[in-house]
Amino acid sequence: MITVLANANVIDGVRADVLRGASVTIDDGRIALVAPGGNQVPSGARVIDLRGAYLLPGLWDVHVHLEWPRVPSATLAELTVQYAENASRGLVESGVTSIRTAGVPHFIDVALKRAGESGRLTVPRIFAGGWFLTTTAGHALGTGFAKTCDGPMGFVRAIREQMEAGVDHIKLNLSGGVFGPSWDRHWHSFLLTEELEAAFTICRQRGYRVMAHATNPEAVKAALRLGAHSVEHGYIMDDDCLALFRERQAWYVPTLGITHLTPAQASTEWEARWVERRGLTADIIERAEDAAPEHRAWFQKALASGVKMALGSDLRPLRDSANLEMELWVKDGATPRQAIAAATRHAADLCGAGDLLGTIEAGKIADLIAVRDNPLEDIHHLRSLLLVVKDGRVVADHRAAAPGS
Amino acid sequence: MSLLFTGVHLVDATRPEPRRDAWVLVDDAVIREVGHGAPPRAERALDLGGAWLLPGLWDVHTHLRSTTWTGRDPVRTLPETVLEQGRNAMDALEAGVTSLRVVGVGGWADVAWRESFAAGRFVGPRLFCCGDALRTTAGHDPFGGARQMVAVDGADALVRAVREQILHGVDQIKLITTGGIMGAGHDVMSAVMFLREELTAAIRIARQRGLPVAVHATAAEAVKWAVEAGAHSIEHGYLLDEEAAQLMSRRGVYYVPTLALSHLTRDQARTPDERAYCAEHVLPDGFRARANRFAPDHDASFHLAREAGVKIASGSDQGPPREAALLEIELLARSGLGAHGAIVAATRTAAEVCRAADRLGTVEAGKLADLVAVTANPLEDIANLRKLALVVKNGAVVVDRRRAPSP
Repeated sequence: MITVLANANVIDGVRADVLRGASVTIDDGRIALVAPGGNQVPSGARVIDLRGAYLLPGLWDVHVHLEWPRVPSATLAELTVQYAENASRGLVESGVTSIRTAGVPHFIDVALKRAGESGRLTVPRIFAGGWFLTTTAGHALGTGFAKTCDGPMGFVRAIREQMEAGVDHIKLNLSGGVFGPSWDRHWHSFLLTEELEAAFTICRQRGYRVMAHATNPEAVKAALRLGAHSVEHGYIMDDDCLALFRERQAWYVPTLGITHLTPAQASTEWEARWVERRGLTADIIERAEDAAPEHRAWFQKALASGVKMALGSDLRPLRDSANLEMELWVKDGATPRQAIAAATRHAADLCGAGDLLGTIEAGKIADLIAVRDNPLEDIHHLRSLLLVVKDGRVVADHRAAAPGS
Repeated sequence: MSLLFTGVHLVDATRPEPRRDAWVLVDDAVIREVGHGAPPRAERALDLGGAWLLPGLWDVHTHLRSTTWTGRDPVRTLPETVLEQGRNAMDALEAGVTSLRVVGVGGWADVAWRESFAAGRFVGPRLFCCGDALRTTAGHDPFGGARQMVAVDGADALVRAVREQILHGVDQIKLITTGGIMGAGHDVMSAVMFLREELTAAIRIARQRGLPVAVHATAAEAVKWAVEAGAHSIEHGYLLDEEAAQLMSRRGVYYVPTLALSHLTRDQARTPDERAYCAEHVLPDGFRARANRFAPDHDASFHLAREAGVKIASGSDQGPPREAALLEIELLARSGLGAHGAIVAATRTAAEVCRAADRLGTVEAGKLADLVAVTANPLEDIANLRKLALVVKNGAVVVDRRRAPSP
């Protein structure tokens, strides 16, 4: 089936300018043609007139946990259904067409990925990481998605189990975090050298990428030297870290939302609403606010120094995640274009899918969103969502509900 | 919001004659008024142009499976199975099945989906849930020893298992007291697998807590034990005798014959839909032979129950429910209930089985608006239930096939 998205202002993620009044032809789930002006509409094609709306690649969030809400007594079946709801709503309500998971219990992410790929459920494309691997007395132990491993073989075995269960990458926790008990601080590093080396060795040997949670210079450098594909958080870094990122061509996923979303820092209605709903405890707020200035500074330095960066929020639910994180990027000094690139093209590259996804180009898979107003002028305009297309299929149409459209 | 359906022939499941040229007024989730002649005003009106309007359909014996009993299911994680079961339930709604009684799935997946559907987070049918189907060690096992079902031994353990189901929010309790057609070896239908005190204890605690008990019982002896112990419904009952049928009738116990289990083989398939189903969903030879062998006994039992005046409800025990629910209704019609009787079994009586007849199961003022509209008269040909035009659940149109979908 052929669909033509006509009269669109295309932000294709490749060229610097907006392609105005263009039409995008989708054939069998792929982008067949991006044409300036109205092109010939093939007979039998479905034409959707976007009336000057802005068409972008679908959004990505490459640091997602899927939990929402967190119910301690939930059965695994309930968790599965809740995660499915969360994933589905992120796609439909916010246009998050692809995610990379950063720690999900019981391989619910693998199950959702398979249900999505078989067309049985309408959920984002998923790059699944399975359990969050940490040590006893490690990080994220209260979340339900952490698996504790001790000793080199403990890590090797857990990583092999992940592979067998069908994950796409391995999430490895090297250091503490902002959220956690007193013995879990982001300047603490958890793994013994031999544990780290064993974990990275088996991943390298089996061809799996490591998504490394590293929050201090020692951990970031250890991860990069051992071959991490991406480093998550990096709240504290140093110049050597940035040099290593560039040298190893590794990715940095800053997850600004973790330190920036507190009541005192919230500066928009969306941030304020999210913070209110999140209900953080006083000690976590204090830890986040203490960490925020340095986090911001290293984000800015990394951005200015040409480190490869992609957008991952670590926020929940998914319908709020990518938008909030992109807005924080802009608040911290990124241009809207940089934030959008981080959440589309660069995110797809990070996931190894840049040849098929992440931009609006002929031959790519048609994962697209249309928004009413120009997000290059104001990143908040990504919230004026009109249409979500995944694999060439309209999975959400908000045009009737959107005011002024 | 008020929603008016006009231009309908109504099969309301309370009387055998259709009410022609009727209208149905729905207000939010509830049927406000049913009538004919000049319709009242409404905020939204849908002229169904002579369609046949019925209560939404039910299947009161499903395991939310994707296919028939294959002997061995693919190895899956619980989350994968949960998602598949949810999808199968959602697909059933698309086919006009607005309510399901789930009589045994693992991990309380049915309860999880029930809540999601009830809250409208996913669009699916109403689920009435049993949680785990409880059986004994060396009990019924359609999975070839894969231990996919909970086995409980001893009266105390059964009481505890029933309480655990209650803790997880089930609506009914399901006990499997004999073997079945989809079994082999020790899995015979003639022997009762529960000890009498096990059966009595399980049903006693369930009833004390106000939960009906659905009992998988095939042999007459097992049926009698179950009824005497206080069963709410008998599932399968392939080998009833006169005494068992009379006892069920006298005690007002429901019978869910699951005709699809013995009749849906490629050797017995009669309609194009049955043949298509049997071609796509292939039974292993052993199961197929048992189904063929027991089908005549099953028919005889079904007739005994009917003669005795037992209340019969439609439950397929086959998968996927979107296909199986309709196949069972058609089998019930053909096996002696007739079209209207089969519709009642799949609507009004099914709602009674789920103890929801006060709010569901018929098209009457005051009931919740779960409705299907089909374009041809299902009383003339029950297969016309497949000519679906509209599905309404809880007052909301969830499927509208009146026009060909736009490309």
